[in-house]
Amino acid sequence: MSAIRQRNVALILARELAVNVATPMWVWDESGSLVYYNDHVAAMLGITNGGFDISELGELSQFSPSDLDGTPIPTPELPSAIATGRREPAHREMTILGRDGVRRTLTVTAFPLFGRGGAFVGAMSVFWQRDGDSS
Amino acid sequence: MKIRIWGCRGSLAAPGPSTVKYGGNTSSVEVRLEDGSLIVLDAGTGIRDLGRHIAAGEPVKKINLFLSHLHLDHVEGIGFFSALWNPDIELHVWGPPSPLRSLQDRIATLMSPPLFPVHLADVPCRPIYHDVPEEEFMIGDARIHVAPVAHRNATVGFRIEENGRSFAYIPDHEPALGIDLERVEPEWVSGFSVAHGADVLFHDSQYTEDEYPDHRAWGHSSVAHTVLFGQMTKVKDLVLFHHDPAHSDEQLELHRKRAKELWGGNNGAPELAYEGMEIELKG
Repeated sequence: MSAIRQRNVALILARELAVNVATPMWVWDESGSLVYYNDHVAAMLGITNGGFDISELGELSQFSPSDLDGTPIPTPELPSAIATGRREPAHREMTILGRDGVRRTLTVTAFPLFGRGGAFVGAMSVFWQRDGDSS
Repeated sequence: MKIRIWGCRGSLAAPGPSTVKYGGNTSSVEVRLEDGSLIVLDAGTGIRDLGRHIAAGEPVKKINLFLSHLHLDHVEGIGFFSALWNPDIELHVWGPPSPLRSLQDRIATLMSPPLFPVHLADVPCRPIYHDVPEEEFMIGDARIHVAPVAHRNATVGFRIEENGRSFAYIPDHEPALGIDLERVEPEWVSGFSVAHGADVLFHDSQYTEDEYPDHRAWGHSSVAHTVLFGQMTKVKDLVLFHHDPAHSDEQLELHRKRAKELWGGNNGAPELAYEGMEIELKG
């Protein structure tokens, strides 16, 4: 019976929150794999028509995340990486370059998820886009 | 294994003429394994009669009490469980873990004045407390799988497998909370690993479809959700459990009728749990 994969209920409910809100959110599992993103995240990244193909933290560098002064942000310093890797909350303002060529200013809050028993089960990131489309 | 229900009412004990057929005691289920090992699922008011039954039978040296969660209707009978007052019985109590307070501390909140006249630390039996592990574990020859499930506060479901037969117990569960059960992948359904392919599933079925919208996120299922969960997990026999205290015997029979309509066909058609219900699973 152990062959049946079962996500932790905390991760299930986190995903369902992301499903049911209009705020961009994504959810990572305990191994650092992206297990859910909502449509609003895809739009924020300038990805349309089901072309979302991100599954690992290492792939986020393609969006050229930078501080507001233009300094590139290394992947391990991204809030999602901190929440999944160090299991600590993180908050940051940044810009990203979307697949559509548009640079957007975002605020990101990421936080680790611990199940009822205290075990780390993954992380969740919430995004706020701070400006309209500006290139 | 042999399974016997001693209580299947949800939320609050509901004795009286309108609940005689299916019973008014809150959750408690006896499971006897092939080697004679005794597992008790939950300590609702039904555990009082179970304790009397145990005391009247062959002497029992060891009992494993599995608590699905610590809501009052699942633990309120523990002080009246005869094994607790018998120093010759080795009582192991298993429940969902908490990083804040031990299982013993949480139960002691209930079993202490002014809620109860005797402190838990003073009962003759010296229970041994265990957080249910994430890994499978063995009781006798039975393999036990436990997983957290969607309900208010820390709650787990239990699966007991012995000689190739399996019994799943998820008395309080709202797998449909925010989820379209017909579309979501199985690994994203709360309780799936506990119930999948079980020979018998006892599952929360507290509300009618009409009642559910007013009780969304209360941690329980409608009859329709229960049937859908049973179908998607491919259980062989589905038993509707955790009856709402406001539902009379006649109302419950309407629930069964509705469940059978939704289930379709006769194989494994849902049945209502009732006090005294016995099921034997032979290997």
